[in-house]
Amino acid sequence: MNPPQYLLLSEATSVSDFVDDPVFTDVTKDGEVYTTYRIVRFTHEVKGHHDDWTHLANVSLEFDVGIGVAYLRVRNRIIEDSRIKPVSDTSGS
Amino acid sequence: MNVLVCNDHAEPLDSLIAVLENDTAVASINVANTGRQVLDTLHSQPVDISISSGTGLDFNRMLQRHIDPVVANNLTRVVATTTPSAPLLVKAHQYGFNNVLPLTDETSNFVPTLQRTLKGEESLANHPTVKALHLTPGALAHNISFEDSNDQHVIELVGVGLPDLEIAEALNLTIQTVRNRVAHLIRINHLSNRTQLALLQNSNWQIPDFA
Repeated sequence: MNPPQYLLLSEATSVSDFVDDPVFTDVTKDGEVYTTYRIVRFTHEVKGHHDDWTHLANVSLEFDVGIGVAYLRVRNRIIEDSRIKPVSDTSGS
Repeated sequence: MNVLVCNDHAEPLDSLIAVLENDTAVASINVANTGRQVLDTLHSQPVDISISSGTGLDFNRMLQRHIDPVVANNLTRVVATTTPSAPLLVKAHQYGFNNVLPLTDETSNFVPTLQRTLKGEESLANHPTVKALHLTPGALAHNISFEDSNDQHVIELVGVGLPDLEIAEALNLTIQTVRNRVAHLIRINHLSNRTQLALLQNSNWQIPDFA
C-alpha cells in the first residue's frame, strides 16, 4: 500500500476555493462533544489516505482561543468529517 | 424557616415531617401530596425551602417550570432520601436542586443541614461525588432554547435519537450544517454534550392542566 501524498497548496489560495462554509464542527468522545472551528487556510491536498482525508488545514476555535491542524474530508465543497490535531493554547504562558 | 414538603407514596417523608414539626427553628411546615398542592402553596404562602423525595425528583423538576420565576428564584430546593446514590446526587445537581438530605443521618442533623443549605453554607455542588465530575449546576433545569424553526427541527430529531447523518437526510441539509447547528444548540443551552441536548428536548413538555 502506497503512503498518502501531501501536496502543498499555494498561499495564494483562499478558503472559499475549497468549501462553501469555512465553519465546521468536529465531533469527539463517542459522538458526544461538539467543538466548532473556522478554517484559516487550506495547506495541503491529501491523496491516497486510508481514512479518506482529502485536505489539511490550519484552523482556529470559533468560540474560544486556540489553533490547530485539521484533517478534513471535503466532498462537493462540504466538510463531511474532520479530525483535529491538538489545539494549542495561545495564552503565551 | 418556612418549609414545604412534597410528599409522595413511593418514598414517604413522614419521619422527616415529624422531626420538622417538633423543631422550633421551623416556623411553618406545609405538606403537599399533589403537584397542584405544591404550586398552590408556593404561590400563596412564604416558603423558604421545598423538600421532595428521591422518587419525586423528576416530577419536581417538571413542576419547577410552572412556578412563578420570582418565587422559584427565592426557593431553596432539597431532595430528602434514604438512598443518596451517586446517580441521584448527579441528577439532583443537574436538575438544579441545592442539596440532598440523607435520611440515614441522625435526625438531629436534619434541621441544621437544611439551615446551612438555606444560608448557602452547604451545597450539593461541594459534594465530593458531584465536585469530581465538573458539571454545570442546573444544566437540565431550564426550558430548551432555539432561535428558529430550522434549529427546532434539528433538536426535535436529536430528541428522537437520530444521528447527525440521518438528520441531514431528513431535513435536506448538509452534515456540516447539521453539526454546526447541534453545536450551536448545545452552546446556547449551556450544555456539555449531545446526550444532554436530547434529554433536555425530551423533558421539554408541560402539563396542560393541573386541575
